[in-house]
Amino acid sequence: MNANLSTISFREPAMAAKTARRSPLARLATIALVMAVFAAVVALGANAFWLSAATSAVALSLSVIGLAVLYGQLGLVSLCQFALVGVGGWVTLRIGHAFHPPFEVSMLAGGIVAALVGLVFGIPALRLRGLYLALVTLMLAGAFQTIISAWGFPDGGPGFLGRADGAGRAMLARPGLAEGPIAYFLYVCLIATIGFIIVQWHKYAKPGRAWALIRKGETVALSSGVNVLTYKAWAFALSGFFAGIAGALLAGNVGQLDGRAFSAFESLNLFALTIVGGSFHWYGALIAGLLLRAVPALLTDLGIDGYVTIGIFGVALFHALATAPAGIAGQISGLVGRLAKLTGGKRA
Amino acid sequence: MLKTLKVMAAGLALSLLTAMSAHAAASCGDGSGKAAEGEPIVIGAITGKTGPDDFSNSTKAAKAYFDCLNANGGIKGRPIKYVVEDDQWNPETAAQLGAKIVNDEKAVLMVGNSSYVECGANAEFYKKSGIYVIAGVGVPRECFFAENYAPTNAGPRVSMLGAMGYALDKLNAKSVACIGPNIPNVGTWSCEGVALLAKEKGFKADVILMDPGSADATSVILQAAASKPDVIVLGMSKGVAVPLLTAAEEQGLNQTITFLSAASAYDLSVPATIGSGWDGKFFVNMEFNDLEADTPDNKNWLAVMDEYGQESDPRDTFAQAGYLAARIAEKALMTLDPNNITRETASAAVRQVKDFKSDIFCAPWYFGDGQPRHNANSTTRMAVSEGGKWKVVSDCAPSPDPELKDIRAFEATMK
Repeated sequence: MNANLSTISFREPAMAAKTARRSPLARLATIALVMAVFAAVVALGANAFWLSAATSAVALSLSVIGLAVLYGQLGLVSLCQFALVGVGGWVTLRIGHAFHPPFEVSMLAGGIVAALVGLVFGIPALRLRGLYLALVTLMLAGAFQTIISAWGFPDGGPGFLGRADGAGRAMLARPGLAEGPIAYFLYVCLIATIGFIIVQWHKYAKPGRAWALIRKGETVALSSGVNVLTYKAWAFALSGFFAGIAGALLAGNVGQLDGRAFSAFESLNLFALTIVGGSFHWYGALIAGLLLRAVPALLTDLGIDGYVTIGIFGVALFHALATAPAGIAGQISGLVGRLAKLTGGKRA
Repeated sequence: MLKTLKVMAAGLALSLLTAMSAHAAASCGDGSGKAAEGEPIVIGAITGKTGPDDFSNSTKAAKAYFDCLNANGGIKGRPIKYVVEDDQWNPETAAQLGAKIVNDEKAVLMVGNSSYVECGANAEFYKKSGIYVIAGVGVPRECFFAENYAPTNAGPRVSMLGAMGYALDKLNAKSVACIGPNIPNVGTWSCEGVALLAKEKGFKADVILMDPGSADATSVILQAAASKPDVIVLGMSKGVAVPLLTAAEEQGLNQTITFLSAASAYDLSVPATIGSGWDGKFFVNMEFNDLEADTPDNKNWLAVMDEYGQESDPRDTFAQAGYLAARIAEKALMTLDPNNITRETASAAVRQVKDFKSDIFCAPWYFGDGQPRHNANSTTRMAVSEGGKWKVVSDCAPSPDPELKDIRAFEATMK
């Protein structure tokens, strides 16, 4: 893992130079534009099956962008991100069934609680790095798996756990302005776009510079006057927040969640695909989300056994680690850069 | 050497026997042997194939029957296009596939569904889309408490209470321990039924819920035996029930306590697996007729499986359920004008299904038009493990589940 990080940091200055050529505002506008085009294409072109898969994919890409903050910006390996998605989903369902507030309120509650839990999960990170942090967070994901398979997700029942065993399960209502499948997909795209822009803004602003310094070395950061504790904690909270929002959006998609879908393995899978998608570019998160949900959907559509996806992801991860540490997004970015140079050359 | 020869001879005799019994020709559709060539009628199904357990036996049997039907005239000349999807035990996937079958494939009906998660994820959506489901194996409570969803099986709770009723009437049980899986709306729902019946009839009941994925069989069994119950009722799949029984035998509990199980442990391999220590000591509920019953429809089911199914398709109680679901769908669709089979007409035809007779069922199956929920199969039999085989020990008896009051009331109005 460390060897990889060093290769990545070698590539980084080049990328930084490229991004510096355009103003941050223009870059943020690009995110909105690309997402709008993506949303329009899917909404107009996809059938019901793909629309549902794309909705889950975009929702999950929010949890990936959170993970990308930790890995891409700070070089921290957190293997409990999907557990935080579960925390966000649990709180959203709990609040939604208990008080029936507007969806946005339950969703924000899910995001905030997941941020707090993410912060707690991040405490070991203040001392640990690399393999040790990965192990500790993986154990946390395992702990969550045990708890959620015993508790399950709230479905309109009484008490703290809110389980409706033997009394009929209730579904979480979708947001009032997005009840249909297309409307909900666009809604999820909108939230994801806002999330991407927030993370991208962080990279341009003070936190991004602080994170970059922390990754170079905590002594360097400290001597430059960066409050390492605050900025690390902030990264974990931000990452957890987006995982929580992703959980809320997933819960809204089907109206319920199942404890068996939140095993520790899912967290590992999410991390692996974050690397495959690319953790240095915002659209790497979108690609990772699509890999997580669209590839299994494609295989299902072709009638291929669901277990094959695990093998495909393994190969993809190997490929990414061996040849493309910046992921698919990095390769796309490189291609775009080369094309731009070519056309630029012609103009000159 | 002699022993191997003997085993080989026995195997040869056995395969000859099965080959001969397979000769009974499968009967489906109009029996003309003429393949249907009209415009296909799309029927969908969602099943839990990949995941903790393979639940696709029901759709395999339904597919075999539809293939047989298509080879014999189809629905008045129109073949069935049967679209089966695997929800991977994930509600999110189940919802995606529900949208695919209903909105993209434009299925007119769903037949043979069997899944742990699909009912909960899709029941509302089916109702909104106006599509009806004749399911094979309904497991969680949602499958029996939905307006558009009618399974052919009895369900884990009704089946478990069928076993409980037998324990009360025939084994004179005065106290019971119920062991169920801690899966939402499955284990708790079943054992709650036992507790409710205990309250009504005044016997003692303990409930133990376990994680089927990571349980220590011995500790679960000792916990259940701690209160010294007369009988222990299991609501686990056979993969979990067999280790529990083995653990109980190691503790000598098969000598003192009688064990019963819901239909989920009714599999032909179980008596031989648990051994002679359980002869007359382990009873199982059957949602359908004896798998080896020599009755016409059961024989036809086996013949259909032999002719149109794969050799590897299990011939188990789930397969019976899928076969029946397909036959009910055939009966409903045959009432329609073949040029006018739409979701609306198919739904109306399914709602009208009543008095569907098969010797695999204990009582005739009906849909129950206008009912908020459906549980037509609530009359079950019992069998006991003996000499490596199941021996049927009771006639069809109605399950004493107190929750079936509304169903019984509706059935009374039908007569």
